Parts: sequence; structure tokens; C-alpha cells
Amino acid sequence: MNEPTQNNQDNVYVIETDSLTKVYGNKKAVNNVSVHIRRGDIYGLIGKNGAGKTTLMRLILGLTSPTSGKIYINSSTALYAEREKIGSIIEAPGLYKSCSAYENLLRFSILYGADKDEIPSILSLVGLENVGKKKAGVFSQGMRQRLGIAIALLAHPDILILDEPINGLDPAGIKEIRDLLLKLNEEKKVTIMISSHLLDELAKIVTVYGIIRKGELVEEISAEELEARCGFYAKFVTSDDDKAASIIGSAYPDASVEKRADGLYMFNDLEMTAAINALLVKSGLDVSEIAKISYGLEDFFIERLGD
Amino acid sequence: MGRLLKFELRKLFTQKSTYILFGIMVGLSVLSVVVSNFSIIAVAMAEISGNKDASFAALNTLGSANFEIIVGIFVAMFVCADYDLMTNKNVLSRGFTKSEIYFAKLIVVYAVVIVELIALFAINFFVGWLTMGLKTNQDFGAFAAKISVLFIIALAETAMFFAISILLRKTGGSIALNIVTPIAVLLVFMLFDSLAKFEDFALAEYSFSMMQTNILMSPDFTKLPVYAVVCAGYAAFFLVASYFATVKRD
Repeated sequence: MNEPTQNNQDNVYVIETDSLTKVYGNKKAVNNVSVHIRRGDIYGLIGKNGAGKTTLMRLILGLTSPTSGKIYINSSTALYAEREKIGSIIEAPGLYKSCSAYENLLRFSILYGADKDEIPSILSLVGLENVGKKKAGVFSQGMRQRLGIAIALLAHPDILILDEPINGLDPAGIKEIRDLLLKLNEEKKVTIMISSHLLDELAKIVTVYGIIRKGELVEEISAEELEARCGFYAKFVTSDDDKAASIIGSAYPDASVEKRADGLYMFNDLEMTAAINALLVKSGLDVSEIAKISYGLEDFFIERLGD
Repeated sequence: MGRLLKFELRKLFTQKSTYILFGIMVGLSVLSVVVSNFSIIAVAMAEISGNKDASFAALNTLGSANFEIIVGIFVAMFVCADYDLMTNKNVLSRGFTKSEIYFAKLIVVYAVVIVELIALFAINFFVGWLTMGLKTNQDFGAFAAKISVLFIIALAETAMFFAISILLRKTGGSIALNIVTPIAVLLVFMLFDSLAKFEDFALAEYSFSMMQTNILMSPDFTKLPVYAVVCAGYAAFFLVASYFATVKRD
């Protein structure tokens, strides 16, 4: 096993997994996954139903045991202690439905060793300060999610792990949760790991994406990188794509070029496309196709998530 | 562990079902003492036992089906609530172990059952004393021995209810099983006896309900230590098996 990867203090991985695997029967729910979440990230875990998102989160939280692999929280493997710094909602918020929001927080404040005097300010932070004695069982789904987040916030977590917190919410509910998460990230410096199917919504808050498919982590990519890749790109089909990539790399060191099975893709410097064509031809390569293609967030994920 | 116990106790004292079930238990129990003064069957049972007085009323509490059913319901509701509501994830994900959760629930369940047993015993003794009086010429040593073994039987049954509930993790199903299992076990033991045809041994005698009945009705004290050991064995089996099943469960 590798030791946890460490950067400088501002760039420390608060959650890191190394070749994490979870097998149920014959099925690898999580297969050799190595995620890297830095302090201050909002890490969006994207994958289809059954891709392994929830299992990965459950593993990190200790709700299930890994078959193999390692988990580091704040670079430590003393996970029972480190998990005290994590707040979470997995699948659905765990609430006492016959109790008020205040009583729910009071019960968990005992468990988490939190100060009960802070309950009003936490309720206010999540916008539930005026619900009074209304029972959690009659809350709207958005209110339940916010109460779940309030419970998670009781012990001042450094990290929040939220599994599909915006699924099933109406647009107003989605906005409430989005605003709350941004506020927590910006004001309280909480690192957030969030999973969802709603790409457009995730794109509004996420700083790093982890793409998971059939239990395997396909790619980790920052929002800036993704933005650079989206928009337009150029595709070249040449008689020798390896040689073409090398020629473009030498002539345009800043160009982001990727060789794929069906051709050579260039994600920036698109204004140089004609010049690159001329250069490749001059270098003796046959260029059979040049295309400028529109490429969006959805295309990017669909390509990686499969059909 | 201390925080987990406080958390479980807070839940216990703030949920209405705790008080409702205890109220029902006291009500049924007092009613049965009062009725035993008039019911032909109950009066006959009291006469057979040799003591139709406060001690009989108190002993009857510990061996009554009312107590058994209410405890079965209480244990199922208390133990399964966190699994039904998924609040157990909030506990586990904060670094508490499955062992700690198991023992916190077990300690609270046993604390409640012991307090309820003592309270019911005292209440029924008092009501029995008011309605039937107290015979002062009885063998108080035998009385104490009977109480002790009935107490052990109740604790062993509680272990069974706890094991069923923590393994099933569903409130409704656990309530149903906790009510049905003592009867089902008796029937299975009786079936075994009818097939095995042993001359001097009956497995059914070691079912919870038969042991309770024998203690209440029989003047024979020689079986008391055997019953105590058998029940301690039952309790150990249910608790050890359910502990390992819980801890190993993913």
C-alpha cells in the first residue's frame, strides 16, 4: 500500500482512499478506487444508479468495511477518531420523525458532545429557526434535508459527506440546499463530498469531480479543467496520430491534446487549427479530417459514464 | 460509551411509548390481581399454590403473560427505532462501534426491565395486600427463591426479545415475533416430547411459560436451581449469538 499523498498544509488531502475495494458476493461494488479530496473542496461524485457512489461514501464513513484498500482521513488511519470530524447524510437523513427539529438536535447533541446552547444558531443557519414544535415527520423533503444537515453540523465538522441531498427536491428546495452548502463551504470552510445525478446543479457548486462507473473511479477532474475541456474542441484524423500529437506538442507547448481511438483531440488554441493543419501536412502526414465540435458538460459525463 | 448511554436514555425518557407501555403494564397487572379475587380459575390457581395473598399476587406479576407481551413490545420498539428511522447511521458514522451501540441498547433495555419488574412487584404486592391480605405463617425463604428464579426467567426472556429485535431490525416484525416466539417455542418443545417419548424428561418443561407455571403452582422447590441454570444458559446463548451476528453484520 502507498502512504497517503501529502502536499503542503494548504493543499492537504482531507480524504484519500488507496485502491479501496468492496465486494458483495461476486459483485465489486467499489473496485480499486483512489479518491483525493483537498481541504476546502466541494467534491462532486457522479455516477449512475448502482455505480458505487453510496458504497464509497459508506466505506469512508465506516458504515461498511472495505474488502481491501486503505482510507485516510486527515492523513490518518485512526479512523474512529477522525470520523468525529465528519458530518454526513447517506441515502436519507436519519431523523426522529415524532420529534421537533429542536428535540432532534438536542438528542444528537448529547451523542456528539455538542453544546446545546448552539442549537438555535444551527437551526437559524439551515433556515429552520421558525418551525417551532412541528414534528420532523411532517416536514417537506427540503426541510428534512436541511434538518439532516443541521444534525451533521452539530459537532462542527470539517467535512460533510452528502449522498444525493438534492434528489427529489423541488427547484426552491434545491436552491435552498445549494445556497446552504456554498455558505458552509465559504464561511465555515467545510469540505464537502456530494453525490448527485443532477449534473447542472452540481456544476453550480462543485470544485472537483470524481466520475465513478461500475465501481471504478474513471477520472478526477477539477471544475476549471472541465470548463477548459468543454465548449469547443478540434478533432484531427491523421495517418499517424502519435506523430501528429508530438508535432503539435513541440510547436504549441500550451496546447491540450489528447489521443483517442478515433482521432486526436485538441481542447484549446483552436484559432491555430488551420496553422496546425498546414504544419501536419508539411510534416508529411495525411490529414483526412478536421472538425470543430461543440462539447458540453453533459457530453463529457455521458462519454465517461457510458450509455 | 457514556455519551451513547446518555443518548439512549434521553430517547427512552422522551418517547411517549415508554410511559404508555408501562401504564398498560401496571393497569393490566393490577386488574389481574383484583380479578384473581373473583375469577374461578384464578382463585383455584391461588388455592393450589397454597397462598392466596399478597405474595401470590406479586409472584404472579413476574410470571404473567401480560408482562411478557408488554416487555416484548417495548424491547422491539426501543431497539428497532434507530434502524427503522436510519438514525443508527448518525451514530455509526460518528465513530461509535457496533459493539458500543449493542451494549448501550442492552444496558438500557435491562435497566428498564429490572426497574419495571421491581415496580410491578411492589405495586402488585401492595394491591394484593389490600385485596387479599398477607399470610404471615408462610415460608419466606421459599418465597424469595421463587421470586429470584422468576426474575431470572424474565431476564432470560428479555435477552430473547432483545436478540430477535436487534437481528430483525424491524419494529413491526420484531413485535410480532416477540409475542409469538414464547408460544411457538413451547409448541415446538411439546412436539419434540411427543416424538421423542422420553419417560422421565420433558423438554417442554424448560420453555419459559412452563417454568413460570411450575414455579407458581408447584410446591416442589427442587427444580428451582435447574430452572435458574437453564435460563442463565438461554440468556447467554441469545446475547452471545446476537452480539456476534450484530458485530459481523455489514
